[in-house]
Amino acid sequence: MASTSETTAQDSVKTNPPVIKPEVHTEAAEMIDPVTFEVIKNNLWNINIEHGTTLIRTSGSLIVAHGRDLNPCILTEDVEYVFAGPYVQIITSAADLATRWVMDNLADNPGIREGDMFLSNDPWIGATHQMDVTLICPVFVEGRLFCWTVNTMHQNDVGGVTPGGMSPEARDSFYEPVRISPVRIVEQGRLREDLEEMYLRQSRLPGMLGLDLHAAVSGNLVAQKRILELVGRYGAGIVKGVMRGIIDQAEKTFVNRLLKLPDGTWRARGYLEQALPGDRGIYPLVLTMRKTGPDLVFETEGTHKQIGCLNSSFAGWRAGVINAVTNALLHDLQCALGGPLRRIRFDAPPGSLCTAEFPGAVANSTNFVIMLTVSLAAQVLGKMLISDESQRASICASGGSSNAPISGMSGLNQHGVPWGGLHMEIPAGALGGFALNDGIPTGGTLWSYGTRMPDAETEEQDRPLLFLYRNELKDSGGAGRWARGVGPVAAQVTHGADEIRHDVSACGFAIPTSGGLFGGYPGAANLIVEKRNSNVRDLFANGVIPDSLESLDGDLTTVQPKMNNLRQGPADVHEFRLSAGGGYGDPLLREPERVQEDVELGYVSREAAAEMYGVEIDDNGKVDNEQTDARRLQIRTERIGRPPPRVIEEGDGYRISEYLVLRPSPEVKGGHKDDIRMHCRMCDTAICSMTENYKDAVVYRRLPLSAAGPMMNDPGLYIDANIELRQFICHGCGTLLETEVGCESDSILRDIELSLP
Amino acid sequence: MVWLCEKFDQESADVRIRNGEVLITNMAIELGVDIGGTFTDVVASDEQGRMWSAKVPTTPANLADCFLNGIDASLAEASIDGHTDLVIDRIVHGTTIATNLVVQRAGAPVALLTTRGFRDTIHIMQGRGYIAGLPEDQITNIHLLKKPAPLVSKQMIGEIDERIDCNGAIVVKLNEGRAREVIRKLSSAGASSFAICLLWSFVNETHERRLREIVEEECPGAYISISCEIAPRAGEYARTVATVINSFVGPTVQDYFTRLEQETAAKYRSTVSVLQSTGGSVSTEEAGRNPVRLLGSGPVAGTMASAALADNVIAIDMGGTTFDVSLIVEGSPLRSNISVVHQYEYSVPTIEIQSIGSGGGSIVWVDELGTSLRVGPKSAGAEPGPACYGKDGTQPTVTDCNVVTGFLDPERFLGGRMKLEPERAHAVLETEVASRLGMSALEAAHGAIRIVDSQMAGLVRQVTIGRGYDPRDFVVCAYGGAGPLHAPALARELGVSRVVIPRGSLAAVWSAYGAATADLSVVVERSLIRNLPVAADELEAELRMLESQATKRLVTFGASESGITLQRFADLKYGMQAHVLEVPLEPELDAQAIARIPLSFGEIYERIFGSGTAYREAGVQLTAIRVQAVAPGTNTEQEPRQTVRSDTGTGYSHTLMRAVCWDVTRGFEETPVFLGQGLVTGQHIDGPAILELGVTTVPVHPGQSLEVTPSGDLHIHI
Repeated sequence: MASTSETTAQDSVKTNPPVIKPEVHTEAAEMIDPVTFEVIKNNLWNINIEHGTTLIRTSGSLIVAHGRDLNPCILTEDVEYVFAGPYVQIITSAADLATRWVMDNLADNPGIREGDMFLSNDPWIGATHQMDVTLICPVFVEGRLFCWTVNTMHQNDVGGVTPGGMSPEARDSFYEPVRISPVRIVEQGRLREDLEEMYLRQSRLPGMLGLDLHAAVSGNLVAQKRILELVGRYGAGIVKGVMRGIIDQAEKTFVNRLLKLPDGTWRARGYLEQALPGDRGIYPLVLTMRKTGPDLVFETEGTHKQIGCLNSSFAGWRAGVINAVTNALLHDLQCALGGPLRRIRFDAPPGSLCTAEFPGAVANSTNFVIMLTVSLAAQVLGKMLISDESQRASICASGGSSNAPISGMSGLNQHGVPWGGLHMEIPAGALGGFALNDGIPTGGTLWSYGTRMPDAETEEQDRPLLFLYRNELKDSGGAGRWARGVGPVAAQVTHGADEIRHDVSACGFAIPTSGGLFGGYPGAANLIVEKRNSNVRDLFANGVIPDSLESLDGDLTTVQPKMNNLRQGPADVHEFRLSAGGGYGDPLLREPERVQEDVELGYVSREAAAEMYGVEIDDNGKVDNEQTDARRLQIRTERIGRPPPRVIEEGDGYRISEYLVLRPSPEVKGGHKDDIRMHCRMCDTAICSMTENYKDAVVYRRLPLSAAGPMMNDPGLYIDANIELRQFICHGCGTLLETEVGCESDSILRDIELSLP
Repeated sequence: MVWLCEKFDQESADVRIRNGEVLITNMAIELGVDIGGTFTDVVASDEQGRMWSAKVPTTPANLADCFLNGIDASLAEASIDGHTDLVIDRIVHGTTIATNLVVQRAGAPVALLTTRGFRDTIHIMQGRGYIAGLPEDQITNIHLLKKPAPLVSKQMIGEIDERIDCNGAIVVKLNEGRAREVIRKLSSAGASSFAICLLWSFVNETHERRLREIVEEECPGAYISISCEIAPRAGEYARTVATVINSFVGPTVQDYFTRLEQETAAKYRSTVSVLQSTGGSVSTEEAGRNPVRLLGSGPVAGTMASAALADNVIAIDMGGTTFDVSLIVEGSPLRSNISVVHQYEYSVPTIEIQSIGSGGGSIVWVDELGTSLRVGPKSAGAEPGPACYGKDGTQPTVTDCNVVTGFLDPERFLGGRMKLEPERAHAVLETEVASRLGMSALEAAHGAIRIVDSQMAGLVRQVTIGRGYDPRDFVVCAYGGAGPLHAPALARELGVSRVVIPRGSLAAVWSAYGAATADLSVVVERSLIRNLPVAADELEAELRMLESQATKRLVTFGASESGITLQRFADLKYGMQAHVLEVPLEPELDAQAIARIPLSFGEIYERIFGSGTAYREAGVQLTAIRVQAVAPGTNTEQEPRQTVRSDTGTGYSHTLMRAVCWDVTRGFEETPVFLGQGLVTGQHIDGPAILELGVTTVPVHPGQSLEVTPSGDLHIHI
């Protein structure tokens, strides 16, 4: 049996075919009438949902039951996804990689038999991070391996130096929860109590871990039983034929969609900060996507080498990419990932932030590398999808909670019992602007479907805290033609205990992680800040609830994104803000009436309406049209340093971005690519040849980060590098074509590079 | 105008007259009125269990009109049978008025008072308002999703300085001065109705109650709801929504009931009671105080009526746009604590009804690869409706498929009141679906019906198997316009052995029948968070308090105390879990009975989630207790009299034949068609056959058989 460090997940993907010891059921009916096909397909989808529902209803943790931080799936006998579930998407990739490893390495010893289940959490085998524990269940039909059902659930505590497992101080993975390579924890229908005990022994919260282990077993039992019923009814060959058909159809749909899009290369760049407590560095993560015909390749070139606690294993990074592909291209295919995965390659050399080698620290991967990768991948995919009108609607600038800050809380609760948990506002992120519509304020994330923020009353029941407020944060959503990615803010004091311990392990304080797209601005960054030694208790005694830190006396204290063992005492108010969603398109093109409504709804302040949108709202809350026109012209003039020579006159053509079109269209036969030029869609100004970087040919403006919106943090509080907002502006009409947030010393990113024939 | 007056009892009426029965006068009758989106159904029943029904168009502009029209129409039916000088004993009303007001945002200008710092709770919607209540296969289309329009704008939410903690201790006392300012401001901004929801008010009610007094002082006459009365449960989001909805719809609902009471008192010398989603009826006064409990009450009536048919029932209701399933286990409908309206989750204990968007209007389509036949979730609704309606529908629907396969007779749709155009159904199926898949229109139609049947079966499986029940232990009770049409095939798919079409043609107006026969019932509950074992005397005292509250309320509705039955329930979970299960409690709790609770909870838990899954080490936690009090409605104690002719044992034969495609490989087969009014008790029909019951059609598939029971139910043996 290969050791963990020798057989990485990446190798496992390349290995083919797997060594298969148990006899395998491969026969699949090829001609299935479309009606039977649809009926069985619906059944398989429902089985996977029932699997998920079982986990949610039996789990012991808020993270699973409300955060829906779980995902069940059905895999074929040769480990292709039939269906994944509509829950947290970034933990999906654990299933196929870990299952493949079980087949390749455990078939001989201890063997894979009917009634067995295998438990694993090893990121170098197939887990996003160690807290995402996977339970793998082979399903047998008449003694032959027919398929697999697998579930993964995030666990509150599986050990490691920091409660919750995500340590800001982790220099390598020995600081983190123990890695368990797949073990046969259920043998022929019986949970092995010795292995269960060994597993629970790692945890500070063994009861909760035990409850979830039982939940995971129930989930697989339910799914297995229902698959066997389906086989009993229709026959194994038919059911297998439908499984293969689902994968083939999803592949075909994926290919058809890709073939409507131009070939090319797209890039996006983001940053993680502070490799360890005390560090003030920033570390770029660059995602490159190359498309050739029906195939996609994702690369990490330009990404920093693995460092400190910031890394992910390959399995985690791959999961982030797959998640974004699902949102952009598979949204109506019910998470049928198997087919599309046949057309996606990952070209990522080991040793980077995204592909850390053992024993790099990787427990923070989900919230650092993976969520940032989801945002970056959404951006490169969006830039590719813009060319096809029928696919444009699914483009989203970015989601909120794009680098959900982990602030693990622990201590003794009001009942005198040890407790632990995270800030649970994370599910109430936001979705930033879409290509044809506004985003969703405090409504979800790009990396999960349908998570739920627990009620304050749920949290206060067992946590020694009292919320002061929990609201939508005005001006947090990135400005744009389409916007409203407003995120939440919450604050708490201790209650029923003298202190709460916080272990903060976060990124995205210094540099926003929810980028804007096509001239939209980034959403607000994460922030944790405290008012220490405040007068909150005096206010309470006087019948006043403070509704902001400004309304409190005390010492305003910056909390660093990597900070262990922060103690919150009775007079300290702890405030928590989540990264919000980015804007889509130039905010000067947003209808003034919509901005007026933003102000009415409390999403945008009057000041920001004027600053960011150029919309002047009068004292009655109505748009002042004359002043708005003047203000907008003034902003355009500032952007290009002179009054714009051309007026806005929206046109159309073959789009390669929201505001750039190709003339003549490459769809016209007989043209030569050297003759095709980029034009501004808003004023028809010619920009450059299709083969050049438009960013070199337009007005380039460098501004302090604070120009990106009123809720940007001061990067100097956290890092040494200078961070700037870069604007790329049409010199004809002053339309903002694209924004970049980056380190002053980094070169301009070539985001769009078409390779038309 | 009485558009469609369904005469139910024609044959037996004829018989009575032929036998020289005298005209019946001064007979007390009860009426059930169910106002739906399109039609208002009324069922009248007399002391002998005879029934008459009427169907009139709903008048959305003034619902009282169709209420009265429907009653008149049903009384006209009864008088044809010789009833004159009728004494109306009671009128029970199921209404969608509250739901409509929410969906159309047409309620009163409501203001919300909440704990300072929580203004946005109802806007954040726990971060999942954009998907709440949507089926799982639609939530991945994130770019198509959005939050619903706000129930109350941020400007109309007043933040109150006060704070109570999880133990009920006052952390910040209610700041009355600041509260008054807030209330005055909201009042001058136009608020005429107030919802008050403060954190932890279900543990300590003092601040909410005092705040209500202040609002009464500042805004005399305002409609006020407080959350500790409307939804005394942990979880501020769903409690806030319930309270806001209550005040949003309350004033309009109260006005509506006032008018109904006046009109019915004047016209029929009768009072009205109203069916709640908790499954029983209450006085209009109570219903007007608690109108959030009217949401979804229409379908609940059908479930309640089905509970009388068998111990274990899968009740299915299929109309034009939705397919509703509810479950009756050992005689009791299953309940749920959280419901969803228009993507808002609210905490009210309701009879649980699960829905999917599968109905006659569901659109049949081909996916973008051109290889898969799909049905729904998009619906052609009532406008333009199925292609065969001839109203510009250009996409084939399930109803079109039923026409093409011959299950529906184009001449007899809705009892012949609406002529369908089969050529159009055939044409759109051909062009939109069949030609693209290389099938015939008939194959496509037959296939689409199989798919919609399997979708419905999927939902039924979730509802049954997902809770540890085996559908084979149930009978399917099918009603609503399209329920009986699909139920026999659906039952076969589920392995269910018997389908009941209740009371024959009454199945089409089953919810109105349910209202007519509904018991008086109230459900009262409170959050009580304790680790087991809890002290027996404490729990017993709390339950007795709820029981006496419930009893008192029923007595004020006119129930006699001796006839009231009480049932106790508790919400339990293993320590640390987030989700609870409702389990029944014993009527007298002593220490031994308390000790038995974790055991019976463990049994129920493992039945649902699999043996070995209960994690007993985590301990059992109680989160809420609930009492249901029931007093029987007056006419329901006796078995309804037969609604079909019983004078002959020979039965009658079919009068028509038509071509129906039962099996697509065999094509069309000439099939006997029976008309409902000819049915007699004990009649036995072997499939394949079609039974026309006025507005519904019942197919008896090959190998199945239909039997008419003495109470007039149709049993189909699968």
